[in-house]
Amino acid sequence: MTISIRWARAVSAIRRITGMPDYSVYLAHHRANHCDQPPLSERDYFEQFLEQRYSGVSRCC
Amino acid sequence: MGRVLMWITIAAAGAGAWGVIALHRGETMNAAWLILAAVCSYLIAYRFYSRFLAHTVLGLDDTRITSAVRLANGRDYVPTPRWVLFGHHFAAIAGAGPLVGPVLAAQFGYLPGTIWLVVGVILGGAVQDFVILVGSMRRDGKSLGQLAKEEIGSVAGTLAMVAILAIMIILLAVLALVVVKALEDSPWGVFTILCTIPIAFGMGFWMKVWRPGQTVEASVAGVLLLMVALFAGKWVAASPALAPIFTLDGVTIAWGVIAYGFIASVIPVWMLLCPRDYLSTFMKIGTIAALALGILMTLPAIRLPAITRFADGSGPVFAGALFPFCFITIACGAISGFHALVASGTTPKMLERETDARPIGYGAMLMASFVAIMALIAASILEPGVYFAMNAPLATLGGSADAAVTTIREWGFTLVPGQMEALAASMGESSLLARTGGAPSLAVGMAQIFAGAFGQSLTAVWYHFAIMFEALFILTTVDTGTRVGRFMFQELAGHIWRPMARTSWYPATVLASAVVVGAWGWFLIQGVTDPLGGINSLWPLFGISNQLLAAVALSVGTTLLIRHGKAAHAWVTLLPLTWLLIVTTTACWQKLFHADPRIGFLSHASRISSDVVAGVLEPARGARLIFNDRINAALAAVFLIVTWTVVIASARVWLRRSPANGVPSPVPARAP
Repeated sequence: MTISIRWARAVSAIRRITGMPDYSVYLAHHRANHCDQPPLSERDYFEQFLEQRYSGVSRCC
Repeated sequence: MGRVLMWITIAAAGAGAWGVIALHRGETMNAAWLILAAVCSYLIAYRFYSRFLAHTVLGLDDTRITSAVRLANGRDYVPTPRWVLFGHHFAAIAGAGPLVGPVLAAQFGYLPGTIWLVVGVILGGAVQDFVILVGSMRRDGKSLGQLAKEEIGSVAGTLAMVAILAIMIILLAVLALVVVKALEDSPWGVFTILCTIPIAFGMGFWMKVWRPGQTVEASVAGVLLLMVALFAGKWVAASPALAPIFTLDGVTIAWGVIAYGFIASVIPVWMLLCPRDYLSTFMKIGTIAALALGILMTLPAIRLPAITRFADGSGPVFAGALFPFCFITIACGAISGFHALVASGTTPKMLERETDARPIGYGAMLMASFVAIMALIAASILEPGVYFAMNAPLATLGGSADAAVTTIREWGFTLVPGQMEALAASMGESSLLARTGGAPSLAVGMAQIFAGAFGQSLTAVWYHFAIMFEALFILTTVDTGTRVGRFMFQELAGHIWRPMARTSWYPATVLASAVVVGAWGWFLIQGVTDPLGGINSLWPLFGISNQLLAAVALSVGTTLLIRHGKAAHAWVTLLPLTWLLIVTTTACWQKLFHADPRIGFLSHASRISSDVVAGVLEPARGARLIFNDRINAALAAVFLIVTWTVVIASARVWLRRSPANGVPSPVPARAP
């Protein structure tokens, strides 16, 4: 495994632990399931993700 | 064979540590015994009890496809590796609750809190989180309110939603009060926290406009700027020109927090709310890890007695006897109803395999309990005299530093004249007397641990680092909580007037935000202006509401088990449910009707009215205090009635579905 892949995995883990959007996960999902449609841009994905995350209970006291 | 030996060793070590704690006599005890006893208990519970829950009670099965896999959409339904999700869930459940509650409950001594944290989490809190997580995971990630509606009935579902909203209001008020108390007359703290707002705006601009989606680099930059702000705060506090600008009284800070909560709730989340969330999560994980490291490196001595004389209910930090109030004061860390909302929120939509629910549902809660044990240790390494001088209201201490020395001695603890002043000076504060709310004493304890582990010369910086860390993530709870409260209110109000439910309609958004902020702001101002410091009356109310929400969650959990053919094992949730109902009903009853005006809201109100008649209290102020008491009493009564209604509604479902009655369940056999 190259250093750049390890680095990308570490950043992806940090993103998911802290509840940040992870565009690479979305792209992978999109490629696998909806390859007939163009994916959202990173900016649009970011906006949709935030809207979703901060509309429900995401943390405790 | 080796494994058997290992578990025998762990069990023996744990039992030995509990034995040392139980038989310990003398001035101080090493914190290592508390850590050893707690960790060995957690390990045994995880290995054996959670295995029983996973295999026998819940029947976790990796051949069943989880909703994260089936409904994967790359946004909220995302199959996530087990340890990443563990971190995610832990960061979501560990907050201010497990840090502040144990510090307040330390007025009973370190032993009651430690036992309740360990036993409560193993048999109660972790079971609740685990059962609700699995229940939600198998129902496409449905929320607790939806589960209550489906499994018990629509009345119970609506009541559960009302209860959740009411609990949010009290939670936000009491947490905001903790921040206000920590920042009062502290220019260093106020400056550092104010700096987080421009830093957050900068981060928001970075990850939204400048480099879209680059949240990690924006957060790293934000954390670095925060450290600069921390050191700059010291300089501000020392500057004769700047210090007075940032030296604010409680009421001013309270209005500031209220304004902040409102603004953060109505402007787009990327500007303020989301970047501050990232900052606080980074700080939270880093600081908790540093605290664990610091405690292990220094293994400090516990100075607080095992049990203090205040177990009888005469304590100055909050009123009420050990039973039931120790079990109310420590909610998060032992059992927290709020966790049921997280366990039926984002986490169940991310489980890759069913068996991952065991480390995440049960395991993460054990970790949260350990955070609470660390907070208890940080408070217990303070000298008892210092602890009570910091946590008792000024009125109780006698009004001045000299009077406090006498009062503390009358309570049977030692405090030397000048000791509090010297401590305050070493922490870079003007005074540490009567800094109620728990956060300052936790910060002093953490500063002593960090100074011992990482460098004595920085004690004042460590203190303000700890204050910043607490205030940062409490304010993040305040802004995200206000936003969630706003959505809940809009949903409920939408039943009455349809346009209110439109979250994209700006007037509805502003109105709903104002209602939610107004509600918790009212309790906050009430707490700040309370002559006894507010924590006294508001923290028990918060604990009661949180424990009653846990009772609702355990009722839902029991219903899930019984409806799906696991009635024989329903005791796993019925046991903690029974205990919580005993504790919270007793506590509610005492808060309502106790004859001691320090405990009962109603007897406090009648004391105030007799004070007004006697002419020792001006009528306008008396009327306001009486009104506060009646609101608090009404709230306690509403909590109690709502919870019992849900429990009774659930019990009717249990009896109807019980196979012993010979009525077959119409629901197809599906494990919960």
